[in-house]
Amino acid sequence: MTQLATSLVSGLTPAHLRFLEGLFPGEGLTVAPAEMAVYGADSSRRAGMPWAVVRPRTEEQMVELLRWAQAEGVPIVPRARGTGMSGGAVPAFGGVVVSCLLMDTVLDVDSEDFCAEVEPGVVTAQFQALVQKRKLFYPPDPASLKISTLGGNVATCAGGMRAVKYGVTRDYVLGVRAVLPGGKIVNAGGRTHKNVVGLDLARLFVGSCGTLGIFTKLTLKLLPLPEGSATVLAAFGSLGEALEGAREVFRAGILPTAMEFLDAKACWGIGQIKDVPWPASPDGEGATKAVLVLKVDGSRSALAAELSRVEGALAGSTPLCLLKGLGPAEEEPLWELRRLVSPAVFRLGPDKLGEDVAVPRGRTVEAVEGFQAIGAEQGIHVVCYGHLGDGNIHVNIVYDAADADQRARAKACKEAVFRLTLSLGGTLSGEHGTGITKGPYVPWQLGEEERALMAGIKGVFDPSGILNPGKGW
Amino acid sequence: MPPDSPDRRECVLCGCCLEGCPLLEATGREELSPRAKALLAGPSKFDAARLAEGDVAALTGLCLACGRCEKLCPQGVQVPALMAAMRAAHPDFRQWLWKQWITRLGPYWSLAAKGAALAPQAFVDTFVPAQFGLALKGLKGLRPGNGLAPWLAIAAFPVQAFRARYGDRPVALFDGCVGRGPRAAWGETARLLLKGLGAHLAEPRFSCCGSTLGVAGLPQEQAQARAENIAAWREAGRPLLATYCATCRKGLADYAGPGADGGLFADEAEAAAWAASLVPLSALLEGAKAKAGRGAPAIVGYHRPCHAEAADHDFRLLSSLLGPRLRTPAGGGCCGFGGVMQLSAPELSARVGASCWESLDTALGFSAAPEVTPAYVLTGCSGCVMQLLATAPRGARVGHWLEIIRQK
Ligand SMILES: Cc1cc2nc3c(=O)[nH]c(=O)nc-3n(C[C@H](O)[C@H](O)[C@H](O)COP(=O)(O)OP(=O)(O)OC[C@H]3O[C@@H](n4cnc5c(N)ncnc54)[C@H](O)[C@@H]3O)c2cc1C
Ligand code: SF4
Ligand code: SF4
Repeated sequence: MTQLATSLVSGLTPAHLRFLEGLFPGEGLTVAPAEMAVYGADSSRRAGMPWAVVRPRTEEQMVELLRWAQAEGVPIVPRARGTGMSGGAVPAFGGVVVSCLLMDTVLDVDSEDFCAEVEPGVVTAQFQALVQKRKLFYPPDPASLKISTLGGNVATCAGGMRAVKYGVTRDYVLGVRAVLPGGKIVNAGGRTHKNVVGLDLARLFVGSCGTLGIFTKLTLKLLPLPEGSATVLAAFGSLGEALEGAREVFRAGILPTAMEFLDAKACWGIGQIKDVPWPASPDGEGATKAVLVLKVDGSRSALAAELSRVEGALAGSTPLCLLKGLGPAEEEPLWELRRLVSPAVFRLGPDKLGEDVAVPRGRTVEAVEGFQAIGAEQGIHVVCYGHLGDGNIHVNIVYDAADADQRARAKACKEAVFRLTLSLGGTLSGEHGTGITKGPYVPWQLGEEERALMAGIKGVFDPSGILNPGKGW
Repeated sequence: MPPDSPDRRECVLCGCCLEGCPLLEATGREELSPRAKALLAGPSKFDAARLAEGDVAALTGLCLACGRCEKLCPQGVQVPALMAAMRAAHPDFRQWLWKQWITRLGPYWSLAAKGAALAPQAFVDTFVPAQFGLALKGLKGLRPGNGLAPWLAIAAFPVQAFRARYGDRPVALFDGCVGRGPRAAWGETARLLLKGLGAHLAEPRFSCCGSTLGVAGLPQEQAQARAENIAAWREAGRPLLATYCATCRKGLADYAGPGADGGLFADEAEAAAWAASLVPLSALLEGAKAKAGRGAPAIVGYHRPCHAEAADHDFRLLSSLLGPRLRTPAGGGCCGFGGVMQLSAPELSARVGASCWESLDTALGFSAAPEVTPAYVLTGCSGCVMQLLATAPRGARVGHWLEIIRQK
């Protein structure tokens, strides 16, 4: 993990507060602890109390803020909607939290250039709905799309279920305009879909977890909207059958838009929240041990045939049930079930460590079976689900943090999962980023040279280390 | 405590509730979000000494009790109920205002509405606390005789379907505070409609549904209202209970809902019978035919109350009666009534109201040519009617859908 810069202050002085009051009049500044509390937490369930919360409306305010913060050594924590899973928006070491939610304008949608310009606080699903009206398509679809923002998605390089066919947020960021510590504005990339002049700074910002600069404008790539889509949900009596079914789909030459799987415990948890279509008893004959959800898209006339091909490819694995949905109204209920899994896991226990490792695609089966074995060995619930199509597996280790023994076993599980992942040639995080929850493990994966290079880059952008200290790598 | 009781359901900070909260949507202020409330009301992650109790109570009081968050929460966290409990635990919190409002004015809303209308502005400015402004405006709009002019005649009632489904079972109409008070015309029209169906009317003496009392942090008063209503229903032979206010319906359903006081009913069977007897008036009228007469506006807007049931029978009935004339914004939108918030933070309530009218405008397009097609909006909840009246743009017409129905 990065060392905290020694020049950082340890709290705000009255003069600091006066400055903030001047720059953020009225509702722009909050210092009451009860009001600030929520700005200190995110979906990683880590929390720290901010020293102050500011809500810029303009880039000028952002410039002034970062100029001042660098001069004074005040830590700054960018924040959008706080749905991050690794504590990226948590002021773990104090500081001023910068809420980007008032910068939420879609500045431009251009169906000739196939790109859009947005402020960072726009909610992803609202943006998708907007471009869809113009028959355009912004593919990245984290499960949190209705509750998270484009700025947060870019800062975490959010991935989604469509990644298997369309890639992740990174693949749709053409340009980033950001304010750096000290108040400099940089324009990285632009509106062109190809660009090889200079280093790819825009990509460097993607997934930087708010440590290099604060985005004020993003230029995003759009595609023509596919005419339609269709979904298949199938339940299987064993994990092996489900994974074999998935392989058959690819062998048949089908590139699904999304290919997700849920293991037995995930299926059980969802069944606790909602009525589920699959045979639900947790044990015994005929019980569901794994569920696959697949989506295909394309022209409407071809979809029905495509659905039958998927069904045919899965038939060899003898699904316990198979549901098909053609068009959003029929598909949505099937996907809603998949989206519920992250919260559903809490039905197995009060606390969880949510890991999102990724392995080379051919090693997925080995990885999932290995993770489940680790859980069985430690006597802890290990729930696996996720993006089968691209090897990104969510491993949820569920335990009771009030019990010291369970805490220790959960940690042992997590470390065993990491070791297995790395031994398979995988990565510790495919989507959520390392933030504060995984920061300490980064050296397991990245060598000294690589880390030194990254620290050097961080130093160029943020020489005094004020921006989101303690996060990342 | 059973493992699944509402008190045990802990917020896991997932943020799924952020999608629906009208306060967050209108202000972009996360501290007003349901997650912030659940975080503060639940086992604290923060050093208690740093969070002054009064501040917490005041902040968590900023909630419209619209219930959108609880529908989205996978953990079953009930933010409005948590907020009500906090209000109840902080007796000095502004709920005294609301208590006065309901207990002093409630039974006399008809009079109060008249009074509000008659009171000279100077008098209001001097003697009425500033917080009452928005609520008074809504109340003024409710005054008798200020409703919409009727233009829809029911041409055929679904008598057969009603008989087939309910036989001779008597029907009691639950009027609620507004339908009993300033807009007694709603109750009259509703009774005529029930007669048109051939229903046998029972007339128990009901009290307030109790939902606003509960939200305001007055659990004793709420429990009393609930007990009175159940006793009246029992005495009338447990009739079908028809409602025409979405919030009343939800308030009544909550008697037998999760987290309710189990002692209200004789046994579980009676609680189930209560739940099963609740039916929106509009559901009974499904299949009716109507004819639009003179004075029918070209475009009619529909505002979906947050408390409407999932099937939203009011909308179904109106769209079958009015056809393409009826329009509603795709995403809905909370009007911002929020009971106690009218008094504790009227400016926020008004802000949510303003974004509600904006989304109505995208569906109805009234602002393009207000003189040609002025805003005309129907809904099915007393609170929504009041709030829409108080926040309406100039020239807009707002009312309960019962108001458009001709009484003969
Ligand atoms: C139910 C649920 C499902 C999820 N599913 C997925 C999933 O499928 N795939 C996935 O990848 N993630 C998923 N997530 C994680 C999370 O939604 C994503 O990480 C998301 O991108 C965070 O967006 P946010 O707007 O909430 O940002 P925040 O959590 O507020 O911030 C995330 C990071 O971005 C930084 N940041 C915010 N704004 C800016 C800015 N303007 N400039 C620079 N940095 C900024 C912050 O400092 C922080 O490091 C899920 C989360 C939940 C709760
Ligand atoms: S209240 Fe429910 S939906 Fe909202 S953050 Fe907490 S657990 Fe999630
Ligand atoms: S009840 Fe409505 S206003 Fe209150 S927190 Fe929930 S969604 Fe927001």
